[in-house]
Amino acid sequence: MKVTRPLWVFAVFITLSCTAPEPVSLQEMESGIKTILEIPTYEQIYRDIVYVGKRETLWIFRTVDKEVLFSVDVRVQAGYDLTRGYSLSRDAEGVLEVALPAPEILLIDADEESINQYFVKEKGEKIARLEYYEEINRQKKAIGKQALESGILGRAEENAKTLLRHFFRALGAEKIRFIRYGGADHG
Amino acid sequence: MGKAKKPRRFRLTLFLIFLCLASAGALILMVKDINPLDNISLTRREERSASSVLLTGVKEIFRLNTVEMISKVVFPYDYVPYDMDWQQFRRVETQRPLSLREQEYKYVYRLAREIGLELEEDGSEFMVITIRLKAGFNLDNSRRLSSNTITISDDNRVTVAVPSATITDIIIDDPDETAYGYPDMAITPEQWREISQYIQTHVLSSDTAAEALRQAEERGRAFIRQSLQAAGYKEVLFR
Repeated sequence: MKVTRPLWVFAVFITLSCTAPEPVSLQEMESGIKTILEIPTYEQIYRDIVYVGKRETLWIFRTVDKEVLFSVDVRVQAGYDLTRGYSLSRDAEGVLEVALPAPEILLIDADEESINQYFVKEKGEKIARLEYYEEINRQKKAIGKQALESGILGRAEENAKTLLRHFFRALGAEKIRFIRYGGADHG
Repeated sequence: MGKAKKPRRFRLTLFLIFLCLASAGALILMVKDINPLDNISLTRREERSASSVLLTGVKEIFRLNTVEMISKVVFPYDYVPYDMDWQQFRRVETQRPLSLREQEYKYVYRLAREIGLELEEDGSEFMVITIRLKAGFNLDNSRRLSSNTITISDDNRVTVAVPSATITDIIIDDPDETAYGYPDMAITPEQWREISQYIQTHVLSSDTAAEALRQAEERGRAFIRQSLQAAGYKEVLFR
């Protein structure tokens, strides 16, 4: 007969330290495969409108006249990188303690598929890729700052806790407490 | 007579000195970078770039990424052979239906032409692109986990229904001028979108993606097994 049981029936005081930043093996490096343990839980999408222009004149003659205007979506993903360390432990009262590292921004990336080009002018010289990526990369720093100010980490933390609560409750843990890995209690 | 020649020679020397100075001045004016008098430069250069951002959307995502595969590709030469005989290819095209691989070559040829790359000629233009493929589990439904998903038997064995591994993200790294040491390539944002879409589709149907899925599932299960066994379960089974 199958039953759902609380975990503490089996383990009254189990401590599991799952700090797992294992060194990357030579085999992994050669194949380009990397073990990661990421839980992305919240994403913001920013629309970046980019203009790049360049004009060159020789006396009264225009030798170069190029410009481009386009928009691109920049994704900002936040969540947990568990390779920074995590642990599960259970105290005498049966409360499951889940220690997680601090939530962080896992990705800031321009989504090429979302590019929408409004116009392009190429007289005397062509538009080159690094020219507009320089502008996108410059803006990515500002986007990261804006995402942090908008509370992206708090939302990511909330979602991760919801996910883990459901998972551990399904395993029979009634009381769950989240703590910062290597730090203080945070609900 | 000798006296009359002297002022003439003097004037000639003066004229030559003036000509030299004027030529040097004109040269300086033409080269903008070393011209301190920008306003009277013969060449003028004006560069302007601007961008502004706006938050347009948010998304709740629930994923566990367990594997990242990084690969570098060279466009177009990872997709068509560098020494391809295009004249021969065109002849073949008229004689028989193209194989799947040949159709792919034709598509890349068209893409390359659109951005001004003539593959028939000895081209030296190329792009090195870094692709990061993430694989793992989509846990969107796991918020509604129930005893149907996880069952615990009397003998301390737990059975977990783990969803199949999926490719959770494909990221084409944004090139950075300081890190990208290869020559820049002339390509508009719209053309770049088309090429990156092709590269993404190509990587999704490649052996790399299949391997990423296999490894993601294996490593994901190992992670769950390790965690639950350490939490006191004797055995962890998957279905």
